[in-house]
Amino acid sequence: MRRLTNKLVKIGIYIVALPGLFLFCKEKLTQTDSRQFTLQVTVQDTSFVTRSIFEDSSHTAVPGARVKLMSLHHDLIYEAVTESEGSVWLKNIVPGMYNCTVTKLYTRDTVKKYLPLDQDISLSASMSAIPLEQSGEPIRVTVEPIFSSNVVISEIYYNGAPSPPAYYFHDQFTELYNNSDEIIYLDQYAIGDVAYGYREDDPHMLHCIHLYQFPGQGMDYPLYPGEMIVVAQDAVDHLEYNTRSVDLSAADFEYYNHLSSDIDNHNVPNMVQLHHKYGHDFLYSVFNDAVVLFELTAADTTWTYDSFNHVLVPVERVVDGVEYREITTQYQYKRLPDKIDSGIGGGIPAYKGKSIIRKVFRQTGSKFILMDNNNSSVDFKVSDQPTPAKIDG
Amino acid sequence: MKRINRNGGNWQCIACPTMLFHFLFIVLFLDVCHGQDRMAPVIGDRPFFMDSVVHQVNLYDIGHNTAALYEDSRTRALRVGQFTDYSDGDYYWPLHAETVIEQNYFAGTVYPLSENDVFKGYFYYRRQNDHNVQWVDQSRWLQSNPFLLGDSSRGDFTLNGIHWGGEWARRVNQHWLFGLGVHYSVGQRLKKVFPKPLNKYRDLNLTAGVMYRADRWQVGFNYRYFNQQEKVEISRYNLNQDITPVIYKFRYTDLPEIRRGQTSEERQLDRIGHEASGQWLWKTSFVHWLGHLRYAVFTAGTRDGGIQKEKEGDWDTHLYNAALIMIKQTTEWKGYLSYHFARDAHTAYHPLFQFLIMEKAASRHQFTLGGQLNVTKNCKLFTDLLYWYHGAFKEDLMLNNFWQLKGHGYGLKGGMLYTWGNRWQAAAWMGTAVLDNQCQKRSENIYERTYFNLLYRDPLNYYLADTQRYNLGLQITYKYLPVLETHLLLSAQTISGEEPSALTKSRVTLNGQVIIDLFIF
Repeated sequence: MRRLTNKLVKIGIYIVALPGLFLFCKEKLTQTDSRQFTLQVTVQDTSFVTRSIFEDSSHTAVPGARVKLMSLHHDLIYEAVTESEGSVWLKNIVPGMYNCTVTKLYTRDTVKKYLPLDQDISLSASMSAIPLEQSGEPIRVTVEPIFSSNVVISEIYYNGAPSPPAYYFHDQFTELYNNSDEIIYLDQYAIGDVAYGYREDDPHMLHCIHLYQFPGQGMDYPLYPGEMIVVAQDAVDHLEYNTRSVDLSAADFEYYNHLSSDIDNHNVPNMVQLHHKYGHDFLYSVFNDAVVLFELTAADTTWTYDSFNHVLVPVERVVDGVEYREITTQYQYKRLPDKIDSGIGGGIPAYKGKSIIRKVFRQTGSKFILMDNNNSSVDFKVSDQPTPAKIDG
Repeated sequence: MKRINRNGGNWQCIACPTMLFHFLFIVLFLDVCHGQDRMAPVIGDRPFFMDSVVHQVNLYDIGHNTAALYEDSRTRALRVGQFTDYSDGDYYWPLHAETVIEQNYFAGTVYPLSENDVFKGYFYYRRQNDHNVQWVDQSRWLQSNPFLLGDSSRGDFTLNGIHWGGEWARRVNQHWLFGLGVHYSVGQRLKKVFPKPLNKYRDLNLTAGVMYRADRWQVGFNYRYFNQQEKVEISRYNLNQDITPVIYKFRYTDLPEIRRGQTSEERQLDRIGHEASGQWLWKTSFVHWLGHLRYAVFTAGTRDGGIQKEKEGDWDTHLYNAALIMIKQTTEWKGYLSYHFARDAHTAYHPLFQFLIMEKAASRHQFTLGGQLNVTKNCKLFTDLLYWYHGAFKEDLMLNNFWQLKGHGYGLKGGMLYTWGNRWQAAAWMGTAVLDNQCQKRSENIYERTYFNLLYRDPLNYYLADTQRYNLGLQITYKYLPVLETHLLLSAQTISGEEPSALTKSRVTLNGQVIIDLFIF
């Protein structure tokens, strides 16, 4: 009996011993290792604008600037406004890659008070694909004054119409708007689209795949303040071919490629072809492209080309530019310099019948002033349908 | 120490035949290739001792110690067979298939090369149809890998694969044995709907084992190396505007990058693993003890190909197992008491910053009491009683999502084995198990989106379901010794789970097997 008892005791020890080794392995949630963190962003302006407005030659901090952090990998946007010392703290930042934009507007009334200028001045800056992690340093952003363009691209319909028929992209158009108080003559203006791959290598030139100039001899095509014009790929009623398209028969201009069997509406003036690398027509990509408005000079009669048959246009000729992509976080594929467009518009899957339109900044009487921060991420929004020759106020 | 082979020939056996039957062992089944849900109860479909009807469970089976290959009972048999699994129902892990039909055809043998050498070789052909699979184009480690590639289509996959392997064991002397093995799997899985992602896998597994045997005890150690690869290719892309699918690249558990209209995508996952396990057997005059310890670590890296290569993250897996089994046998009955422990832990690392972003772990403690009663010479009854409890948590350190749960379960199994003469044998069994889970903590959903629900809310609901399962089976064995032995097995299992929303789902699994052992050597 004693022997049996001893054995049972031994068995009991064994049975308890091994489980005892592992029982401490209870699962426990710590919740102490969150990777989120708080980030400080400091905004400064080293130009004359802020110094003048604060009447202090050493003042660089920009209070009241809107800081926007957009995650490239997450569906997260952080926004805040800088305080008096030009800084702001953004909380619960999830580590990752971010685009950062900063905008600050000095209204015309403020500008007039401190500077010999009679216009709004926007301070703007953008930073692309910044890695932000837990041990991140504070971000210092230096903004620069942006003087609004007189003529802006107010709408681009590049997306293509939904089927049927499939792949209907002939209804693309560009809308230009006179955002100033002056009459603008379009005769010296041109529209081109910019190739990818030269942003860093050749920062002073834009390599254009197509370049089409407005007709006229100098003062034939005035654009009055608050007016707009539509440049169509084909100025016809596309509803006849695709019921979900748009009627462009009343367009003001159309691209016409005389080297192909392109449609030519004789009632609509044709844009003058300066360069046409490929394609049946001046087709904007339905996925991603950069459309630029140039103001040419009388000296621009001879052109240079790169080895890929792109025409080179100096950056200083740029009046306005808009870059769009299907995936708006792909800053690694940007085509335009930041000072032309520091953002990316779009974000629309192809062939959805949508367009991108410039937001209204303010309305003065019956006239709209459109937003122009040289940042299409900020300045543009998606419209569910194209609105040629209309401003969405 | 001599054992008569069923084929009639004499050969040296390392373990005495009675011992083989004494130390029947339920292996805590661990699928090291595919990972395992630790919250699901690990129960064989038949009582513990009844498992020996087909399987000679021994130290070879405990930790698959190659050195113990001598203990495989199928020596000198050419085994061929086929088994089919059919599983269908709405209770399934969200990214798995709603219906699975798997067929395996196999052939293998264990053949003594000499007095001191034994060889095992096998070949499998596998065909599997997965119906109604949603989103994810990868097929493995879905519950632990947060770096997934998927698309917006829902459809069927067809898998074709082969699996072959060979092992060799050598007895150095009366005490020492060692063994080597190689196992290789390759296959491809094609989704039938656009964009028709092609999923390929290739696994290599090398193993080496050593075993020491004394009169009253044995101890073994086994090392295993894993080299596993899975690749998904989406190349048959069509930019047709109406059927262009959305490609989802899941980084972390719930933050997909969305691709539309790209020309190709490619995702490659490489997983390297090392496993060390020890097994021991100790015979006392009163009872016999079996023990098993195992640790495995896997490191997996994910890479992107295609036109827009992006760095993806790494994730690791740590697996721990331990078991202690006590077995007592008399001429009239056999009994056992066992404890099993299992834990798996997964960690994921940020692709850019390399810090920890996700943790997931689950542990289970399981106690089993069972026995066998020899009613007559031809009739035996079996029963098992199981109890287990477990805990699990998951934490996303990026978006601060988390949940933690605990639960427990119990089960009862019974069976009967009847033998008619020397030729016929029939076994029947049935069982039931109940699992009760409770959520202890959970975060609120940050995203209310379809993909987020699929990756976060729905799996949690699956885990939290209180389940009840029933199973029954029948196996008929016909022996025509010394020529052949055939087994026909049919089994069925139903599981129903009540999710937190009070929604009850169920699943039925049917299994059929035909196995023929030909003693032709």
